Amino acid sequence: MNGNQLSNFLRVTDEQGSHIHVKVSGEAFLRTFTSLIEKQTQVAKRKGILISTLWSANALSRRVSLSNLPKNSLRIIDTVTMSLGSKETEIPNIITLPAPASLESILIEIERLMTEGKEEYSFLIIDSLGALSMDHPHSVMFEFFKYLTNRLLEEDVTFIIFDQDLDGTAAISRSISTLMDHNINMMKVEK
Amino acid sequence: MHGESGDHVFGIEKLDNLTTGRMEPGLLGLIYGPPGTGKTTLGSHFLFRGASLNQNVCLLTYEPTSLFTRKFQRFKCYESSWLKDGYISIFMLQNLMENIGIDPERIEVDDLDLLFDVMVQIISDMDMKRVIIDPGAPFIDLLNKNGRGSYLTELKIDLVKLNASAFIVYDIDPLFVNKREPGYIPNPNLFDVMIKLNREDSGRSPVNTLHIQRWKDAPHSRSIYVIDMSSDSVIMAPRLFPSEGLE
Repeated sequence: MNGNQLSNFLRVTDEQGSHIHVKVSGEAFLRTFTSLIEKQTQVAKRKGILISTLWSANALSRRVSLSNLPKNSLRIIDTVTMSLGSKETEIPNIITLPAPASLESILIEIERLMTEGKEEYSFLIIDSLGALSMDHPHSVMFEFFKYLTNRLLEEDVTFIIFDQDLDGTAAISRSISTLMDHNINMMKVEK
Repeated sequence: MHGESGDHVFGIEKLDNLTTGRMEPGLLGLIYGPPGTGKTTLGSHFLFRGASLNQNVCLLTYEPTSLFTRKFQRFKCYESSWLKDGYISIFMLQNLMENIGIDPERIEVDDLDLLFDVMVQIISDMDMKRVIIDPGAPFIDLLNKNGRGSYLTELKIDLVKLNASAFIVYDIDPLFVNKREPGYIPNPNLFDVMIKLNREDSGRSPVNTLHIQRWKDAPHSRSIYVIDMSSDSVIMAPRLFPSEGLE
């Protein structure tokens, strides 16, 4: 990944309400992921939701300096902590789901956040398509994304899915690309 | 096409959106499912919606009135003035029976005829627009045991005349405790609306689900939804099933 790819990606995420599927992995993923969160919350002053499927909230706070983000700018739906049996975090704004988290329980929490009316969220990030799709059949994943993209379009929420292009996710990756406004492959240069 | 806001049945946007029909007067509905799946919560929302529209509504129950008062107070959307001002009335069926001289322990067919007449009279005299019978199973068992199952049909006719609607909240009996067949529901063809609440193992964490099985004469969603009901809110999302033949 070069600097142009990152800045092009971040520019696309500026389009309010756009839906973006981005393939990126390794160090480049970490850089893109943290840059996106910082840009959305610190620069654009937006509030958003992160579905954390890779890291527990405690682990995530080591990846992204959550404490440096503006207050209440990011609500995290943590699907990992309970499955690890990790100590529950004291970081505010974390919703820890019972393990193993079902896709429906994630949708319920998204609905709750979007309808409770306390905050208006303008972006939603899923950190790993591969981790999310593990153990879920293709058709269930597609139904999940079909519902989610429709709901987010209705609310004009920007939607970003990170896809590390893991083995076995090619089919769902292809399917959801049909639902997205932008499909960005940031792994081409490295390959 | 949606009716006006006053026609919304539960005042729960997502749930009301699942049916595009208006709530016609005379509607007799059944909310059923195993214990602990949110039937009473849903029934309460039906009453609250009516009270919020300044309608007189009532709950007929076998449980102590104070229990329901306490239950109601937990809801964020509940206003205590609804009870004080008489928009919501709660009638405990045992008390009602005693007041009209029926021994609840030894009910005979004539007693049942009288009880039913009194119930209809209450709905009529107090201009009740919405009625909940919760728990409905003992009431229906009582009717059926005394060969008066047809009273539900009569109730439906009375509801139409009185411009009112009612839901019966019915516990299905997964453990065969009351010697009903597991999953048994009474007179299913009688109800205009049938809403099934259930607890399902999603393969991951168990989830509560809602399924509108019937909404007579109105297009409605037949999908199953995951539902999360608390005193603060009712949140719904689709239940995700693998499509047959795709996996």
